[in-house]
This record gives sequence, structure tokens and C-alpha cells, in this order.
Amino acid sequence: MPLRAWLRSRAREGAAAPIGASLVMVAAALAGASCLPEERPYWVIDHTDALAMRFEVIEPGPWGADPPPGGGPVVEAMPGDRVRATAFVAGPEGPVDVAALQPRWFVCGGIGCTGGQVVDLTEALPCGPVALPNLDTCALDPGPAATFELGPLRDVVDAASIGVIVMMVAGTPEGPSTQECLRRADALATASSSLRDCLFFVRTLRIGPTWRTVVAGAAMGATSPVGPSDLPWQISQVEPDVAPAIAHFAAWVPAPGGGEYFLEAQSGATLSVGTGDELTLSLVEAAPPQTYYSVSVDQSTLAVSVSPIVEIRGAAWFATVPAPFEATAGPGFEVEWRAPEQPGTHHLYVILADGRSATTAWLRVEVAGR
Amino acid sequence: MSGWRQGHVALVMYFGACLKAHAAPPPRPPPQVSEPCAGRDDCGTLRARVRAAGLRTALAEARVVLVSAGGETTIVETDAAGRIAVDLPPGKLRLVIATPGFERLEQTLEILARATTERQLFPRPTEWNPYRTVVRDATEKRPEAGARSLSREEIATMPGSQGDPLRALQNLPGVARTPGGLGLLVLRGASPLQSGVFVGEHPVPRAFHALALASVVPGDVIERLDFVPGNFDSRYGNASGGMVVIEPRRGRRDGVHGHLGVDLRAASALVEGPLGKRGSFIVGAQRGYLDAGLRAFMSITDSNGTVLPTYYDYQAMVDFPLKQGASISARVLGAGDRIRFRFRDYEKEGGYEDAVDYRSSFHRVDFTYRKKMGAWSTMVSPALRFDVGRQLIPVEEREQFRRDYVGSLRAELQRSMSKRFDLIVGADLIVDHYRARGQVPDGVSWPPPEQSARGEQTWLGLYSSGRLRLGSLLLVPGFRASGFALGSERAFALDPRINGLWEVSDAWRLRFGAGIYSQSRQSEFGVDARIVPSSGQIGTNQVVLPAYFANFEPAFAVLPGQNTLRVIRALQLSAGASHDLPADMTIDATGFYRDQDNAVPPVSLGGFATRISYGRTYGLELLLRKPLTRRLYGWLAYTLMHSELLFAQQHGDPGGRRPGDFDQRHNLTIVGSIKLGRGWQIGGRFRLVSGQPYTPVVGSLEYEGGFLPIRGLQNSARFPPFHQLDIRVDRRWIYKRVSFLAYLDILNVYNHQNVEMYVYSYDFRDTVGGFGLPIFPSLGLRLDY
Repeated sequence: MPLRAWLRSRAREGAAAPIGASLVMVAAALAGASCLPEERPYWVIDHTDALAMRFEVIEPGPWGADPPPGGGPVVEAMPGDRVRATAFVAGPEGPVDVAALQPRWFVCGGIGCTGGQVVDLTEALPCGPVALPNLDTCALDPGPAATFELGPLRDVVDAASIGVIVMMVAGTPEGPSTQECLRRADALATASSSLRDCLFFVRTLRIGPTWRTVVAGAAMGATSPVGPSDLPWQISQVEPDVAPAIAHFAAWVPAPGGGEYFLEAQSGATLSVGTGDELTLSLVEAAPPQTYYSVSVDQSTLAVSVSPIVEIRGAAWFATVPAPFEATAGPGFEVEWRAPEQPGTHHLYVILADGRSATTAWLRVEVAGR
Repeated sequence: MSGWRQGHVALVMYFGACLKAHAAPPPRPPPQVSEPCAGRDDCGTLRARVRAAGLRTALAEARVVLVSAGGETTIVETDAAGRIAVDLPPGKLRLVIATPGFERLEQTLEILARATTERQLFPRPTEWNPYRTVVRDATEKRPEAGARSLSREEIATMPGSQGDPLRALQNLPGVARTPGGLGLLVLRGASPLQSGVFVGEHPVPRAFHALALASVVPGDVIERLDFVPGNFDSRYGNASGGMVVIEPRRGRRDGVHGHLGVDLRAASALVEGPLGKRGSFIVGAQRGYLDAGLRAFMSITDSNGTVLPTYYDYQAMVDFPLKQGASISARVLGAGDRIRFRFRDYEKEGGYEDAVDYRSSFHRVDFTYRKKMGAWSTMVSPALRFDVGRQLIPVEEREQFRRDYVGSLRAELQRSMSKRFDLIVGADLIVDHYRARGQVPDGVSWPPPEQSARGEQTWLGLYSSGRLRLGSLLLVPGFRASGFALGSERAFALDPRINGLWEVSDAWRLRFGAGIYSQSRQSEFGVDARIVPSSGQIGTNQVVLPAYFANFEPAFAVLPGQNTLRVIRALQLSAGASHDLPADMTIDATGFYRDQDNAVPPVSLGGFATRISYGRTYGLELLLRKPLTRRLYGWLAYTLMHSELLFAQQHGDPGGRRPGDFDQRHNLTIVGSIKLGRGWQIGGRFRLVSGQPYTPVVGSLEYEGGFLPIRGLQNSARFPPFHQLDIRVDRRWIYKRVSFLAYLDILNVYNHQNVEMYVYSYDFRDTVGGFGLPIFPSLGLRLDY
């Protein structure tokens, strides 16, 4: 599960470094554009929005691996594994019950889903076991979570590099239903109607670990430039990926009589603060980062090289109010946040990711007047 | 560049001074003997030259009244050079000049016995009108339906056009408004690449300086501008839209004249005068310096980035009548542009860096020889042009460079076969030897691979055009055979054409035209100027631009290896009626239809260009015009246009006809100008135009943390209607030998925020319009001598 927050943060960095914007600025100047809109803060959840999708192997196949001791469920899969995908949807009033949205699920064909392909979703055939790689977009069973089985491994490199691309389509409480979203997408062939309040959310299930994929590919007759004997021995020691886990939040909250106090809170807990209070929030992880190997194959010599990588974790914070988060330690592990000046109930969401998968947590903040 | 910048004004002045030296003064007339001097030997001689103040043009046949102290009156008339010479009795006398169009001039003189008294007299014109060579009648009776001609004065004083010929053209029916001041010529819905711009007998690669800051040929050096939005004559080829022909003028022979001008955008200078016994010359140049002001603005406001445009152009023209009805003209002209997007580099202390550096220039020399021999007329005109384009985007490691050596030749033979029939046969040939190299990101390898190519492309046309007069009916049948070559590829086309004018009565005229128009395309997928991407980010906002922007720089586009010769063919039909109304007003209505195959337009932003196979445009043009009179002129232009493209079926899209990128359904322009007297003139232009089509983003798909747009049907939405009022106020002061003009040109007087593009939030949920030009006053000064 890649990290959405990092990508959003990257967009924010783009605002500070205008190199990437230069060409369009030229265009804007050509237009004589004198007034451009203010950028909408990426961290504000002012509408129903999917923040993360979680994969977990719920039934390992013949090539599947057991999770490492003490780790959570495996989040990268092998042929024959049965996998479940669940989405975390945030809203202005707190986490949204995905079941109520009645989402539809699809496995994208080819190299993935694009905006132009949403027209074809209603014609997608039901998925059987998902081939690796999957060539045609197919529909999974509807429901709050998608469950599917991985099929035969046909091309090791494509499977390892593309994975299984899963898309959730859902309506929103403030917008059209899921069925209406799909109807409008289908009607794009003849009329342009808004899909802005529809969720089209895509994440990739990784296939791996790589050495297991190579071994499985050899056994299943898949196309592969390398065989098991080409791989260095040490990568066979790699454990399957598991999602990072958040043990709890730690918070420093101003005390009513002055000073501040410390508390720990589980995801979903409620913090009570006063208007304008400045909080310090941090994440406490449940497990250390994993080590894995990056495998690359030279196109001309087919020589295999591997390099060990230690997961680098980072966190991104979201809120239902525009007050920004100021990172004070680590890549988002500790932030300062100022409560709004108006009393009310707000929500904070955080995504912790390690570059391969992610997990989410949230807090409810009740802001009381002084 | 800087040396040129400092020296170009001095250069034209030097040329003017040198060339003047070759102009021989006309002989002085012998003195007339006035009646009171008859039989006297103590009279003195008065020699005077009468010229219009400010213009210094000689006033021929002006009556000069000389009244002596004793009440004796002598009346003399000036000769063709504005001179008088008369013997008068000694003593004081009063001189009076009262000529129509000039203020009364009175002076007291003293004539000395047996001596010559010389005077220079400058009556002040009641109106400023240096434009004496307007050929309006001839152009008004063009046979092409919808064709127009603009005179120099209309161009110079038209509000909102800032004295620029091609901007003035954009006020005519059949010409679409282009957003953001883009200087593109969209004629009857055709892509800018489908219309041609000629200066004299040869095409120029571009009409406007980049960002439409000015035309590459300023209004001061043109005789007239002929604009044919469709059904143009067989003389012109390799264009399937419309045609604009700029006819350069000859220099004045009544002395050395010129001007110096300066405004917020540019400075210009021009010198013209006689050359030898019969010839004349014009030397002019202008240099834009908007970049200097923007640089200062950037520094003062500490802004992160700005666009720095720079441009120049120059013209040197010599016309020389030869013996036996022959004449020769030589012209050197060129233009260059540089655009940089400079941004603040935070890694440098107070430093800036150019993210985009784009340069383009052309330089042309041509000669035209004309000769009349009885019923025969011949014309031969060779030209050589050198084009250079370079684009550098360091951050993408993108570099493109292209150099073209273009040789062209036009030869024409015309004969009056009878009183009713004239025939023109001719040939035009263009050979373009190009060399291109580039380093263009391909999304696969890094750094981008180096590509290079060189080759030759050739266009050859053989044409004939007749003018057949059958009473009140004028028919202009024509035929054009074209050959196109690109490397080893060849293509041919045969284009029959006909235009007609029927003068039904003194007040009514009917016009019609039909023809085939072929044009070669070199690039399979059209032209993507690359300098403007289809979408991108400003900060975290996503920008979606209308399709017009892909045509930003049509002249600089070809990448090595992407050339494929194709020929598009268009059927053009038009018919119209003109009616003369009271008060010198005329009304014109023209219907037009253009049907085109292989109509691959420039890459449509956000769309699928390869799906488009067919184009069709039809509509109606209306022009109500009050021609130039002493005080008032103006017009009302309205165009109703449907421009459609046929989209092929793809990805579940059933395809079908949709609005084309240049579909501008309604376009209303009202232009008016009035001379208030005492040197004041005020004019205005109001435009109300349908918004152009664009492909909306209706939603987004979040893909691994990034957002991909979900687009609606191509060109299924429109920008809001555009409306704008521009006003120009001129005040001219006329002195004896010079005149001085100050003007205030205010664009978008009521500061209407016209939406020219849309900017989406990072996730495409929120949309805000990117506005065009706000109210923009421009103050200018100009000295004519």
C-alpha cells in the first residue's frame, strides 16, 4: 500500500520550488493570467475522501509465506493467495462506514486504470483468479471489502513490477451513490457530468517477495529472464512485507491551569482541548522497519544484482479544519497543531507508511470554549 | 543584442542622411512679375515654399494672396513643389494663405528693393492625415466574398489595436478572438497553421512576435493589408484556411521624413525619403523592452518568477522606377524573439535562473522586378530567408534547435487578352533546406537522447488566374497545380477555384466563390509547440489550458523523425451581398462553408488528435461599416460560426461531430473613432464573444497518491463569454516641421475578468478561472518629422 501522504506532501513541496511549475507559468503568462486561485491545503478533509487501502493475505496459497513472528498480516501476495482489500475513508464528521457507501471493486488490466478508462467499468466482466499480470479490467464482488484470489503467474518481471492494481469506486454521503457514479462514468461517452463527489481510488497489491516469485515462476513455467539459481542466496532470507503498525498516539496538551500534561491515546480516542490550544502529537510505532532487497536485472547481460533496503517510514497528517500541522521531529512522527478558535468537534487522521504499505489511525478532538 | 539595441536608431538615421544626399533638388521656378511691378526696376523678389505644418509635404496649387500697404492685391498659385516666386514692389505687405483643409495663415513681410526675400511657410492642417496613398476603391471591389482591406490610417488609429496591423485585423468578421492576447490568426474556424501570411510576394513564417506583442511588420511600412478569410485567389497556395497579404509601401519622395516612437512596450524609429532621381527608401526598426520593466518589477516585488519577452524587427526597403515602365524593389526584413521564464533559484543568494529560454528569428531579403510592355506585365521576385529557432529548458534537459534556409521564387506574367479578359499565369516555388537537432525527454532514457535530422522540403505551384468582365459581372476563374516533396515523399494536388462579383446596381453587389485548397502537413500529429504543456502544476494547482495554447508557436515545432508528408484538402464555398447605405455606410453579409478532409489539427490539449479525421466549418459574417470621413469612422462586425470535428470511436466513445477547437459561435465587435478637433481623437472597441470550447475535467482518480483527471467529452464545455471595452485617446500637436503625438490606450476599461483558462485544485475537485488581461493602460509618445 503506497503512501498517499508522501505524494501529497510532494505536491506541497512543489509549491515552494517553482521549477516544475515553470512551463505552466509560461502558459499562465501567455493567458495574461492575473489572478490564480489560492492553493487548497492538501491536508484538509472537507469532503468524503479515501485515504488508504489495505491489503492482507487472508488465505495463503501454495507459494504464500507466513508472516514474520510478531508481525501483522502479510500485505504482499503470491500466486494462489487469497487477498482482502479494505479502504479507509475519511469524512468531515469522522471515519466513514465503507459498507454504507456500497463500493464496487475492480482489478485494472494492462498497466493500470486511467481517467479515460472509467467509461468501460460497467462493461467489465467478473474476475476469476487474477492472472499475473492481469490483462483486462475485471469486476470483483461488491461489498465493503474486496476478496479475490491470485491466479497463475505468467510473467515474473511484469508481475513483480506491475502487481495487481485494484480500484475502488464509491459514492459519497454528500454526492451521488456508487451506482450513480458508475452510471455517470458510463455516460461520459455521450455527455459530460460531474464525478467530483465520486471516489475512484486505486492502489497496487505487490507481488512478492521477489525470490519467491522467481521460484514460483520457474515452477509454473512463467516468462522470466532469470531463474532461481541466478539469485543470490541472501535474498531468500527475506520475510514477506507486513504493514507498519501504530501502537498509540502520544500527546502533550495544555493544562487548564497552565502548563501541559501528557497522555497516550489509541486510534479513535477523543481529546478534549480548549480553543486555540497548541498540541503536540506523536506516533508510537508497534514494530521496527523491515529490511528487504531490491532486485534488478541488466537488460543486456541479464546479470542480477540485489541491494538491501531498510524501510523508511513517514507519517502524514490530515484534519477536518484548515489549521496546518508543523512537523517537529522525524518525517511526520511528531507534529504541532493548533486547535481552532471556534468550539466544535474535529477529526485528525494520520497515515503511516513505509514505501511499500501503510496504516491509518485517527483521533477525535473536542474543542471547548474558554 | 545589446549593441544592436543601442545602435539601431542611429543606424536608420544614418541611412536616411546618406540616402538623402543622392536626391537631386527640383529646379527653382523663375519669378513671375506682378502687376504693380510692370515697368518698374526697383522691385524685389519673394520666393516662398508652402508646406503642410508637421508633415512638410508641399502644398501644390495653393492660392497665396499678397496685399501691399497701398491695398494692391497679387494672387499667385504654388507649383507642384509648393513654391512661389514673384516680383513685388518694395515695402511691407500681408501674405495670406487660405486653403481647404488648412488653417488660415497670415504673415507680414517686407520686400526690399532689388533683393530676394525667402520664406518657408507652414499652414497648419485642420486634420492630421499623412496617409495619402490609400487605395480604397480598388480593394473594395475585390471579387472574394468577405475580403477586406485595411488602410494605414485605420490601422494606426483603431482602438485596441495599438496601431498594429494584424491586431487590427482581429476586429474583422471571420477572425476569431484568441485568448490571452495570443497573436494567432484563426480565420473561419481554421487552425492558425492553415492560413498564410504574405509580405509582398513571399510568405513569412509568423505574423506576430511571441505573446502577440506586435506584428513582425509594423503598420508604418505597409501600404495596405488585404485580408481574405476564404476562397482566396489561385495566386496563393499551400494554405487551406484564409490568407493575409501585407503590401509594403514605397518611401515618400517629398523630403526625408520619419518618426521616433516610444511607449511602455517598445521603441521604434523610421526614416524614409527620396533616393536618386526617381527612387525612394524606407528604413525602420523597433525593439521591445517589456523584459526590462518586468525584470525590475520582479526585483522590486521579490516575485518567484516571471516571463521576460524581448523582440525586435527591422525593415529596409528600396523602390526604384526604371526606364520603359519597369521598376525594381528590394526589401530586407527580419524579426526575432526571445522569451525567458526566469525564476528565483533559492540555492543561489539573490540568484535567478532561466527555466525556459526560447529564441526564434527570421531574416529575409527579396527583390521584385516588374515591367509593363503594352498589354503584357511581368513580375519576377526571388527571395532568400533564414529562420532560426532554439528552445532550451534546462530543468528537463530539453533542447531543440532548428535552422532553415528558405529560397523562394515567384514569377508571373499578365496580359490583357481583350477589353474583357485579363490573364495571369505564374509559378511559385519554395525550397526549404532544414537542419534540426534536439534532446527531447522521451520518458524512457535519461538524459534524453540526442536526435538530429536534416533534409529538404519543397513546394511548387503553377497557377493561372483570369479576370473576365461580362458587363456588370466580374468572374475570376483560377487553377492551381501543386507539388509537395519532403525527402523522398511526393504529393500532388489540383485546385480549381472561381470567384465572382456581380454589381447588380450602384448600391448592390453580389459575390461568390468556390474552390479547392490543398496544403501539405509535415507532421502526422500536428504541431505541439511543446513550450506550453497541455496541463501541469502551479504549486499544487493543476492547470488545464484551452486548445489554442498548443498553437503558441507554429513556426518552431518539427522534431527530427516525426515528419510525414500529408496533404489536406478543403472545399471552400462562400457567397455574399454588399449594399451601400446612406451616409457612406455599407453593409456586407457573407455566408461561408469549408469542408476539409485529413483535418488533423494541432494536438488538442487533453484530447486524442489521432481520432479526428474530418473538419467542417460554416457560418455567416456581417459587417456594417462607416468608412473614413473627416470626423467619424467605425464598424460593426458579427460572425456566426460553427466549426466541427468528426471524432472516431474509441474507448467506448461512440465518436461523432463535436465543436472544433476553434469553434467560436458568436463574435461581435464594434469599433468607432471620432475626431474631435484641435488634435484630439477618441475611439473605442467593444467585443462580445462566445467562450471557446474546452474539455472539462469532471472528476479525478487517485492513483497511488497522485490524481489523474477524468475528462469529459472532448470540447464538450465552453468558457464563459468574453467581453471587453478598449478606448484610445490621441492628442496631436503640429509644429512647423514636426508633429508630436501622445496617446493613451486603455485595454479592458471596465476591468472585466475574462476567464481564459481553468485552474483546478490538486485533486481536480475545485475549479477557478484563470483570468485574462486586467485593465491595462498604455501611454505612448511619438515624434513625426
